[in-house]
Amino acid sequence: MARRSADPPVRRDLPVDLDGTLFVLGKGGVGKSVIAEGLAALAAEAGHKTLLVRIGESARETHPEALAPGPTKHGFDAVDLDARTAMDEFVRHVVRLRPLFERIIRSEVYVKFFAAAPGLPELVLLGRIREYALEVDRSGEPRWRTLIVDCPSSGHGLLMLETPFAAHRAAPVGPFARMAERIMTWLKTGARIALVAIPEEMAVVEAVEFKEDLLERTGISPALVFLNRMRQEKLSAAARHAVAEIDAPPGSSDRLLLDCAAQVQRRTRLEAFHQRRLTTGLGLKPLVLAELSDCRPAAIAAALAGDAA
Amino acid sequence: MKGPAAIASALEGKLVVVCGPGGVGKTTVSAALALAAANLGRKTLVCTIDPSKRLRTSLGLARLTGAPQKVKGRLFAMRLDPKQTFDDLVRRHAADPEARERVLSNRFYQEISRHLAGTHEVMAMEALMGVSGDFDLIVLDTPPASSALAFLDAPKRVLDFVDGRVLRYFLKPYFVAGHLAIEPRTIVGRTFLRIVDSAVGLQFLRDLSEFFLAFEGLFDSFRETANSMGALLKAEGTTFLLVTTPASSRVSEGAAFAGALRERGLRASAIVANRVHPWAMEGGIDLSVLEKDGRASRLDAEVALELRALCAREESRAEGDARQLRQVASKSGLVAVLVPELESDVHDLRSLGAVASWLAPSGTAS
Repeated sequence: MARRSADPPVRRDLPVDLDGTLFVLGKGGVGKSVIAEGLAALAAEAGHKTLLVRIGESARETHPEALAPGPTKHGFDAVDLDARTAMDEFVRHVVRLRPLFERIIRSEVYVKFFAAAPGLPELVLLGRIREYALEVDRSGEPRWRTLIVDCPSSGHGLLMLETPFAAHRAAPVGPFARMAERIMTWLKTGARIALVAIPEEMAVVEAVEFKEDLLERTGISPALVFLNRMRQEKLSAAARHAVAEIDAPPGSSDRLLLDCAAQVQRRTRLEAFHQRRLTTGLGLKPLVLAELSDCRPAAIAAALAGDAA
Repeated sequence: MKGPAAIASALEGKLVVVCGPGGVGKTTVSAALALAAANLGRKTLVCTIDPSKRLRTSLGLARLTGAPQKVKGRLFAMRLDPKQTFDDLVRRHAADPEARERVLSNRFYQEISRHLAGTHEVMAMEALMGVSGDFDLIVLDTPPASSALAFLDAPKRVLDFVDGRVLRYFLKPYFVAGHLAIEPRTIVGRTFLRIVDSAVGLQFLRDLSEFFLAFEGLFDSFRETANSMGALLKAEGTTFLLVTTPASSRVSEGAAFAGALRERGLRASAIVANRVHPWAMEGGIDLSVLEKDGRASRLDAEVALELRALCAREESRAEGDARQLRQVASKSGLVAVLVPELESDVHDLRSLGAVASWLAPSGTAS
């Protein structure tokens, strides 16, 4: 699956602008993670220093060490973050004394209340991502030119992006509010949102609703939308003519072939219908992706480039 | 038990909880199940959170309200509004009008009632229990969640958060004064408060304090709701269904879900695999005719070639689906009921009936 490291680096023009931070959001099951990984690989292939941030939702054992980004075989760096781990790291940063830190993060109050308080861990998590985005190396250059954030599925993803705005409303003064404010500014100026949808009723509806909710709650509009799993089977004119005109006997191979073609045609029309609704609903032209069987940069690049053509 | 039999028996119970990740057609499946049960003569209510406009249209309703509405015959529908339910709960249980207003207008409450993980699920159950006596069967479309398990853990998560012991330990002595007047006894507690104070500032803490003081009287009823939700989920007559799609590559999720249900002593009845390639359905297609048919083709040679290639691609898609489904079934130990990918959107009762006919073949003669 992985691009062999012996391959000569291929430089190609990026079909989409991948500079800066891109949050990739979408309903569960629409292929968000595959696209996020593909975009990261694509940016890396174009020579960008790239970090893929994968956000998990499960609380797990505390491993603050796991927060260190590391290289992957795909040419980009990656880090797995979850709100709880980011929260623990934040506490460790504040407390400094290791034994005390250990006792705090094991205490019932912390586990049940502080780490579960709505929004707080998510805010800390966003703060962590912002720090990655602003990190510079010794020469003062950004450590990563491209940051791709694979977000939790849309409901949770929206809640996460909304936290600094909500926190700012809930506690407009104090250090917490200042932190929220810094993150808000960064989200508005230094980050972009990409939505992923598939040509299906609920996914399209939710993408459109997501856009409206996001705008209402944060004032941010999505910059990109991917329409994934478009099979886009196209029949030649002769084949379309055959489907419409030829009356093959039941049980014949002709019948089967023509029925198959008709079935595919109906599906393609439904895909086109959803594509139009998504385009109108978002006011954005979706980048159409075929069914990707893997996330090799070449596959996703070809899919994206094919759309641009 | 075969798939349709598992569904039929679920529809004979009191409550069907439809779980699944977002984007798999959970709401449509819920509505179709309710329609099938209603056609079998049971007075059925389908509860859903924030349905899309097209589902409302498919049920023939201009809008869905927070009270059960008649759709057709014995089928009813209701929209769940967790925030509204939470507000109602506060109104019902608050000691006096002043306490009620204090809670409702509190910024922290407003955040919690919208955002606290698990709140939506518990409030959905609260709304549902209020009307359950009026119906033979309720089909509950669970709130969209990252995982089907979120629903099962909701009562515990909410209880953890409002747990009286934790609050007494940490919040009350601190918040009665509204500032750092009372020092917690342990060094952990002290350091902890220092972090909270430096991180969120005093105003936030005051809001928090007010919330918990005003909310104090509500904890018991809140806990009661969460507890009865736990009991209802375990009750005889309650079954769980997991909706998934072969394309969403969530094979392991099906297995984890089945395992989690067993662990909690809950009844899983079946997996509904939605949007399955029509050729992957049982007895879907016989392609051997492509090889065996001796009759002369009326198709142009080039067109025949094109269509054969298309057919081969469709076959491999169908095989991919079938492979996923076999894995779901073997890893979860549950039977999978298949609903084929439909060639049009579900936009009226008739197309909803088409989905229902795949789920419950016996319950669709209307």
